[in-house]
Amino acid sequence: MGERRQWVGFTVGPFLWRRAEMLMAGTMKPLIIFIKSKVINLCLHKSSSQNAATTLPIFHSFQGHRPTLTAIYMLSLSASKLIDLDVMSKSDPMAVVYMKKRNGTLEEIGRTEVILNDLNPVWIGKISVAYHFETVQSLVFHVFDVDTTHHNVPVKTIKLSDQDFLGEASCVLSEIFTKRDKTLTLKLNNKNRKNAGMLSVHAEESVASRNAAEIVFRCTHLDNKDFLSKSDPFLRISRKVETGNAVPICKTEVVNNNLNPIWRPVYLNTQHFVSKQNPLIVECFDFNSNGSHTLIGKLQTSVSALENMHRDKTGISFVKQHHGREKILKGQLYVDAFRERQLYSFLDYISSGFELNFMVAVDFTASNGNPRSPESLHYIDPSGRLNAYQQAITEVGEVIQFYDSDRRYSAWGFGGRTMDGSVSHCFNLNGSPYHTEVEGVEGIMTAYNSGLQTVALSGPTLFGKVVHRAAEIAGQSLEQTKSKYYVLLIITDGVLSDPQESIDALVRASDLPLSILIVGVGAADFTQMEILDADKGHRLESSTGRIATRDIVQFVPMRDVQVGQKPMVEALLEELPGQFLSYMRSRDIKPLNVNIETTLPQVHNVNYPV
Amino acid sequence: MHPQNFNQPRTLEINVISAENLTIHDRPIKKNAIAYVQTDPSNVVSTKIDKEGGSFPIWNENFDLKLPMHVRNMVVQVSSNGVLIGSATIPVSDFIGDYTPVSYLHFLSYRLRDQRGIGNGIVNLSVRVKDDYFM
Repeated sequence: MGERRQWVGFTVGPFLWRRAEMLMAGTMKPLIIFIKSKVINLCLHKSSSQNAATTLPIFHSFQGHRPTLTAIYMLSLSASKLIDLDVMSKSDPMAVVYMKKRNGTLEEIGRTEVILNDLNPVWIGKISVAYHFETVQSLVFHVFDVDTTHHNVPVKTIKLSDQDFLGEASCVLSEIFTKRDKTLTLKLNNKNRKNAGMLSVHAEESVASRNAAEIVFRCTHLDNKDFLSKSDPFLRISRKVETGNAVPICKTEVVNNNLNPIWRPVYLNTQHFVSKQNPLIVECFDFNSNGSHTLIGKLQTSVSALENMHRDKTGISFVKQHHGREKILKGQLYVDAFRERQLYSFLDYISSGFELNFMVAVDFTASNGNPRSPESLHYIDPSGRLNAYQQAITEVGEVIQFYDSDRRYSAWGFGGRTMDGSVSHCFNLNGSPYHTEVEGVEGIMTAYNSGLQTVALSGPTLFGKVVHRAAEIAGQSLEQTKSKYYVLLIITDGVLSDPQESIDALVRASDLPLSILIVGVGAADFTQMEILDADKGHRLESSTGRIATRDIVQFVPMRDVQVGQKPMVEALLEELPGQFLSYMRSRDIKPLNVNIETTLPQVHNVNYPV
Repeated sequence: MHPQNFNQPRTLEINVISAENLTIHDRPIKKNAIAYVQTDPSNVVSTKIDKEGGSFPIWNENFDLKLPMHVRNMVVQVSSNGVLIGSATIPVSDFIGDYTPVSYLHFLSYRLRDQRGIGNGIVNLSVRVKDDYFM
């Protein structure tokens, strides 16, 4: 990243931040807000414990990048060989796109225009859809032959029940991205006809969302708010929206005990500031570990004004409300660097051929309870109800499988007594002495079931071996390719017998293309597990004094989010794209086939890698 | 990468990136942090003095450093105005002989400790083993 290489990766309390943005921007439906409130609570807790941020303020946080993770995508549709239902002419097709909800109901997200007399229509109208990595977003497409009486009315008002149904198709949004040209062709189904034609779906990111301004802020002569030491300032940048409210779009890290701080670069994404003239509010706060930060001062500016401030090397003064009127403060804001750059999104990598490779490790320690007893966490219910382990495997596997082309996953167990009578802290779930890999999520489930038959639960709970093995696989893959990133899911019921052993393994793994998701099942006290999750601000430190270079662990207890059903997997996966990007960006690894683009000075009209 | 490669001299490409939270007796240092990296007493490199970064210096300087045979540890020291802030011992095994490709770029961070063993900050660097030896 140019003349200053950044030490990237650690984020502090990011979840709440993004949710808050989305809530304010109104991109989330109220219903979803309700369901997610549980997760938000969880994260309020997270962000309130970010006092550790004060001990590592220079660690660059990715706040500014976050918008790229929930990009808005535009779907374009075309079809071929549709059924001809009109007697005198050809069908007049229109496509309707639905999002399939968790309970199976369809929610319409948009429809195309009607094209007259065409069995191979290419619709112009685009359907926009917000992409969320952490959920499986099932799309359903219906194609209708629109009756001639409706031809001159707005498509929104067309009653679908009055139209002739031509066919339907469905896919998962992420399937489209994993295709190189971001185009997926689906067969249309119709109960009454054999050949109902084909439907092609092409997705592209809404223009310019890759463009970002990289800005280095500096302040001088800030007011002192602390009693014994100096202020611990950080900046928060918000965009003013039409209603007059401000939507926070990014914030800097905290610089300790300093009235003339320089912050690490922040990235303002075009998606967020919208236009360079849009008013931005910059607020400077004194960080307080209890979460109620003291406002030092605020000011209004815009991206173009910031650009000018950088060019002219001028500063602007903060102001503060004082007895009902604005008081100009001594403290000033300067822009030390202003650069426009392109930030590749997670999907840019994925659609250019990067893959996530999934690995699973299951806890076989005795604290799970005898698998034959219904109270056991490992109890296989003959009625088919999934136990906590099965649930975690399917939910996470469901999302990740779309990013893994060969769908072969490594599956291990730990803390169990295997056939040879010894306790192993990393054995193959399928019982094979050599092959760790199984086929698909079903393969993991089968291996898990057979593992329960052959392996006796034992202990202690140690992650080190499993993490080490995953790191080995991730490290060895680098010989062949840089385009693989590994995700290890560890499901455990208990407290680590030797946390330092796990931490040592995690610290070593932090330098590899690997993320580790830990799901805690059962009723154990997981506070100790949260130490592994660097969200809480602590960078993991090994017994030899080596420190994790980036946050690669995400821990979620299953019970915390069980009420809302869905969010466990979301909370678990939501930092994964950020962790993936922190690895790729720190090494300057670009999506495949885009090297030429990056050297172009102009940033508009970016062509997608094909 | 095989263990016997430990016993061959090679060249390391080191970037001393930055340090964080440098303190002396619990007080953040004001300025002039400098870092030294050595593999043995005859192979030492040092950064320029960072005058602006205070207790969060950024050097971002590249060096080639010989790693003689049998050397098992590399030492990083950070000081300011002639006073040692802390040092970190980096086992060679952190970047040679693990499961990564020979010339993998390792980003490494270490806790700096003074003579009494008290943590006085963190140093960030990257290390890559030059693969010219194998060519």
